[in-house]
Amino acid sequence: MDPPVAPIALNVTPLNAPQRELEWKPLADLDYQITEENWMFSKHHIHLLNELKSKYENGTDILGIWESSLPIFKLPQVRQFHDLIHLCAICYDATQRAVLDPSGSVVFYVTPEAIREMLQFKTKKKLVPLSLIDLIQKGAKLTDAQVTKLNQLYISSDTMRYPPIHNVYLNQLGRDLADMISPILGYNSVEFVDETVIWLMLMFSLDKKTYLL
Amino acid sequence: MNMPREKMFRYTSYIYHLILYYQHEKFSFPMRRMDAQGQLRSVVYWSPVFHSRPDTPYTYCEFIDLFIYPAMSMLMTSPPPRLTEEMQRILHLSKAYSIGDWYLYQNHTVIRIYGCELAPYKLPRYVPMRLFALEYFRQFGNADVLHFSGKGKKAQLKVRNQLGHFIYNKREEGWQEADRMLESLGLETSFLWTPYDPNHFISLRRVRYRLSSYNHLRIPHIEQYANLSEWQEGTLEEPITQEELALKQKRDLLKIADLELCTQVYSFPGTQVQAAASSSKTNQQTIQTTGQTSSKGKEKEMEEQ
Repeated sequence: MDPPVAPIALNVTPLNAPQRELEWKPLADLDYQITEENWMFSKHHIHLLNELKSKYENGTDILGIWESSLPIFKLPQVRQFHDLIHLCAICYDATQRAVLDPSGSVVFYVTPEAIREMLQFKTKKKLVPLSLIDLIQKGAKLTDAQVTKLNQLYISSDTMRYPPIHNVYLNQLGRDLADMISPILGYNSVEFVDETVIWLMLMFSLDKKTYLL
Repeated sequence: MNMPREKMFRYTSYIYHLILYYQHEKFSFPMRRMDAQGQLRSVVYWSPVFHSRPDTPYTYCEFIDLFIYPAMSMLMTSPPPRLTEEMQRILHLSKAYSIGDWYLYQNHTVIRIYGCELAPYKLPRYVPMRLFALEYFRQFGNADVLHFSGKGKKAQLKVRNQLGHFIYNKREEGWQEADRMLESLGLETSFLWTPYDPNHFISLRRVRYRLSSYNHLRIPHIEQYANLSEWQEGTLEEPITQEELALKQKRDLLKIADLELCTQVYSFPGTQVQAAASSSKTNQQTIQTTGQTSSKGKEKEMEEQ
């Protein structure tokens, strides 16, 4: 196994989690902020990959999603176990961007390189860091033309829809894309698709520009 | 209630996969790391042990015992006990105030709170605080409603308002919510043992409220093994029925079959251009992570022929 490359800081600033009143709940779970919901309507991980591959092969992947490498980063849903996540948070060393064991040895790095390594993502193309702040700023300034493009490509509704968009209005392609992008951005739910996700969805266009994460 | 804003540390799926990728030798479940060409495949396809899907061949208890427990052991100075001291103290605060017992079976753990009339869940061998808290609220809440608050009496039992990361806001409904959460994990239940009140904890309080006494049902051959610190050979073993055995064998076959499913996944275009560089030879190189000296994990690894 290749050793993880020296850590490089991600250009990502964590979003402040929204406050949610929990007093009204009979049993309040303080771990709700780190819970990844089980997305009932999401496709099985391997089924989605095979569908995308099949579209690519028969020439109907008009947006170039398969070639974009985005599907590589779509991880399967996992069982939640917050005690381990809390322990990782306690053992996290920000200077090394790694989780350490009590003796100080690295258990695993939390870096883009480590993630690419475990997913066997190897490319010679130049990669651009993903900035959440940048996404938020750009997403907040969607033009009319972009909203029109969004509706043409991903919305199955007679009326024009503006973000945030409830996923019932998305067509299948839109849902699949939102399903791949949302967890990468750390969203707990795909019920509403907001500007940041939409901005990334709009990176895919009919001229098949390959967008590498 | 003042909710503190917690620091965020999530992406559970990435964390699990990173642990598996860098510490795979610490785990004993079967995994398939190489493809037919002997190249390292994406960690996503190594094993479904922690994947969440309806047809997963791994039970929740297996997920805890096979993945979570070894993973947590790596991050602690010593492997956590089956039931932590804190949990034992909650059940047995003192001789005068004990609210329940624990039973260590060979492959699972059972908590029995006095006065509860629900079948306890079979918790994993290693009981994490999160599961303990849910079982505590569920059983203690049920006992309280059943014997006191549900009979118009002032709540008699001092149920903790917070345990682990749970806050128990409403007694009447909170235990049902805990029950629902445990049930959703697919845990099996142990046998119903009622009335369960070996120290007359409930009975004495009922009498104080002019309610009828609550007479414990004795099962000496099980009771003698209550509250042990470790499971010992010849103590508690819950017999497995033929049906359960067949089901287990079926799941074991599905675990192997699931690894074959990985062969259906194609390579991505434009990626893995240096896959050969990640050959098995390269992968044997030492990395700067812990526990790379043991070759135990490799023996368990299933290489594709």
